[in-house]
Amino acid sequence: MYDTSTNFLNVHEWAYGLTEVVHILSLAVGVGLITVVDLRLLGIGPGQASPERLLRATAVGSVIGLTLAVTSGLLIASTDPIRYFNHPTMRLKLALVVAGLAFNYTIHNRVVRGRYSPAAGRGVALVSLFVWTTTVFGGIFYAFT
Amino acid sequence: MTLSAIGRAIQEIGVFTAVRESVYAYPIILSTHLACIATFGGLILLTNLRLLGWMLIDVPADALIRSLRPWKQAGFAIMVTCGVLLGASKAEEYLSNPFFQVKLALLCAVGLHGLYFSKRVYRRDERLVNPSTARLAAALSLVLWVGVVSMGRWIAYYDPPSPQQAHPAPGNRQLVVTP
Repeated sequence: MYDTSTNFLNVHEWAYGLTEVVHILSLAVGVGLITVVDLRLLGIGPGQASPERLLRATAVGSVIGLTLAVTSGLLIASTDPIRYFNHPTMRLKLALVVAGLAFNYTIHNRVVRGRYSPAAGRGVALVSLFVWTTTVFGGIFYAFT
Repeated sequence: MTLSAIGRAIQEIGVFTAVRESVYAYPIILSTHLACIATFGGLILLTNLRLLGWMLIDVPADALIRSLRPWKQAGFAIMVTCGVLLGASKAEEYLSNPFFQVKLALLCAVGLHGLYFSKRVYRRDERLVNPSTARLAAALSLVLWVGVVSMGRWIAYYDPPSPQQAHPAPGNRQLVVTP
């Protein structure tokens, strides 16, 4: 039986807080760099760089950010996995993360790289912004519901 | 007038009391504050990585900065509005919280950074900008913002010395009232 009282993050409060800080900062890097591409698809940002050019420039950074965000998120969840997994808001958030990642690395990036209409670009940008924003809301509302 | 008296006077202003006591407004404002960190933070990150010369070096930095400026300002305005609502609604507790104090000091440093580097880097013709000044501005900006975000999270971990006023856990919306 997994004993949460021996979990490193439960033993050391600073480690728990630090993991939360890493979660927020890496989220800002991962989602922030995806947002830059989304805003460009919506016509906001540097006209000199196409959305595809911006995606190429930010792809590595956003992978690093998202990987750190998921890893730190799992570490936070490991402090009380049963409560986290059984909580409806957290389940919704997890579903949004999985959907967001799947959408980003299939449809979203394919539309950015391929020869699709600007309307398709705006569509994926809005879906992307919506999914990531609701994920952030899910994370906060978990603590309040 | 003590710090906590000032804080109490602030948080008793109607709108801040309403935020503190509402079930949904507080988490909605907090979520918006964080969502702005992700969006507005991405724009800051892009600007600074460009100034460091780590990405998009074939795109003129001044044009890039100019095109992002209004959106950064809009994101910053929303983020600060949310932050003021959150902070002022618990002003009595927060004003004496060292992490909150450091966060405010870092935000002042962000302001000074802007005052100093605006005309030297961000609002200057790229050809006239000293590259090492640009890199210094970018590195300082990144360090300051990482500090601001980190301190924001640590605010929730401070236990005030008074035994009567237990610190509410992050997410516990019930205010502990000191007798």
